[in-house]
Amino acid sequence: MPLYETKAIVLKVIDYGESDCIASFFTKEYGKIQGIVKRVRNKKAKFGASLEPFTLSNIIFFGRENANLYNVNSADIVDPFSVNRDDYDKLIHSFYLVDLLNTYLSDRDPHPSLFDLGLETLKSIGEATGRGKTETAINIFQLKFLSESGYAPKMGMCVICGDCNLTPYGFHPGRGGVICRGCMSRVTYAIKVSPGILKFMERAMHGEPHIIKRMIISKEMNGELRYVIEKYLRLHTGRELKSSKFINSHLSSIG
Amino acid sequence: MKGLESVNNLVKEFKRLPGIGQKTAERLAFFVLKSDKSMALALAEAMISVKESVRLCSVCNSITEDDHCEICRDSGRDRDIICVVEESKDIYAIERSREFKGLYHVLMGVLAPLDGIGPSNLKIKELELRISGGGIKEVIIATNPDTEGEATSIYLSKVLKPLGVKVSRIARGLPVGSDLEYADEVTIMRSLQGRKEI
Repeated sequence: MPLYETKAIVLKVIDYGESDCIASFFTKEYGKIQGIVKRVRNKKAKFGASLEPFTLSNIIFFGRENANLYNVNSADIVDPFSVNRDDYDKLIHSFYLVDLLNTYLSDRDPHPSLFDLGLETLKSIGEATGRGKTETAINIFQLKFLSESGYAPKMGMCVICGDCNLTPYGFHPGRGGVICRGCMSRVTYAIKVSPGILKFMERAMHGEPHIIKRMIISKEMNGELRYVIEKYLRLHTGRELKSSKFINSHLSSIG
Repeated sequence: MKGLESVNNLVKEFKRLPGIGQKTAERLAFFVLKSDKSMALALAEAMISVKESVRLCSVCNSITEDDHCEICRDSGRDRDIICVVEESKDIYAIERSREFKGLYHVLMGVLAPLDGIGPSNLKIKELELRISGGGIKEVIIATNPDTEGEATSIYLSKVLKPLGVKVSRIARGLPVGSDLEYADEVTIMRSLQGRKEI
C-alpha cells in the first residue's frame, strides 16, 4: 500500500467510536481526501491541535490508490492560523471557507491553484483589519472557487437572449449568468445587480492573483455579492452550506 | 446466533452503547445470561429509573432529579460567580478538582458552524437572563480549548461583557505531567501567552 505525505488544510473532523475520528482534508496533490485517524482522543494522542479546522498540517496517510477512506498516520502543524481564532469575525469566515471546500468539492479531484488560494485567503482573513476586508477576501475566494470547480457562471453574454454586446443588468441564478435589461423584465427569479458587482465577479474569477489581492468593495456590495453567490450555488449544487445561516446572522447582527 | 433471538437482540442493544463492539457486547450479554434474574431486573430498573427521574435543572441545565440541582440548592457556594460549561459531565470534571466553589451554567453544546449549530441552539439566552437578574460578578468560560470551544468563548464574551460582568476564560496550555518536547506549537504558544508571574 502506498504511503503519501502532503500538506493539507483540515476541513472537518467527526468523532468516530470511542477514540477515533474521520477527518476531511484538502490537499494540493490529491484534492479532497478523507481519512480515519486512530486514537486521536486518547490521553497520549500525538495529534494535538493538528486536526483543528482550517489548520495547515503536514499529514502522512496510506491506503489503496483511490480509496474512499485512508488511514492517517500522523499530522504535524505547519500553520495553525492562530490569529484567525482570536477574533469572532475572522473565525467564522475561516469556518465558512472550509465548509465551502468540504461541501462542494468532490473527493480526489486536485485543484492546486484553489489550494494555494485557500491558504492565501486564510492568511488575508488573519491580516484583515476590518469586516469589509474579511468579507471581500471570502467573496473573492468563492468566485475563484466557482471558476476552478466548474461552476463558473456565464458572464460574457445574456443567458436568456444570447446577446454578446449587452450592458449587464442583472443575474439569473437558475440560468447561471448575467442578463440584459430587456430580458430582466421578461423573466422571474432574476436578481437586479449593480454593474460594479458584475464587473467585480468577472475580474475576481478570471483576474491575475496580484490584481485580485488589491480589490476592495463596499459593505453593501459584499452583501449583494454574497446573496447572489449563495443563491447560485444552492440552485446548481442542490446543497446548502451549514455555516451559511451562521455567517448571515452574524453579519446582520453587526449591521 | 441462530434461533437465539433474545440473545441477539441483547447483543444488538449493548452494541449501541459507546465504546462497545461486537465482542464486548457478546461478553456482556452472556454475563447477563449467566447472572440471577434479580441482577438483570435491577439493571433494567436502574436504566428505566434514570430515564424517568433525571431531568434538567431549571436554573443551570445540569442533570438533576429535582427542580433545582444539588449545586444550585447549596447555600454554601459562591453565588456571584458562574462557570459556563458545554455539557453536564464537565461539571463533574471541575468538581473533582475541588477548586471551584461557585455555580454552573450548562450550554448544552457548543457553537459549531460546520454543523449549523448557532447561538439560538444553545442555552445562551438563559445565561444572559441569569446575569441580568443581578448578583453575578464573574463568568468563567470553561468550554473545551478546541476551535469550536474558542468560537463559543469569544461569542460569549461579546454578549456578556455589556452586561457589566467580568468574563474570564480557563487557562490553556500544557497539561500537568506532560513533556514540553512532545507538545505542539499551538499548545506551547497558548502556554506562553497565558504565563503567570511566580
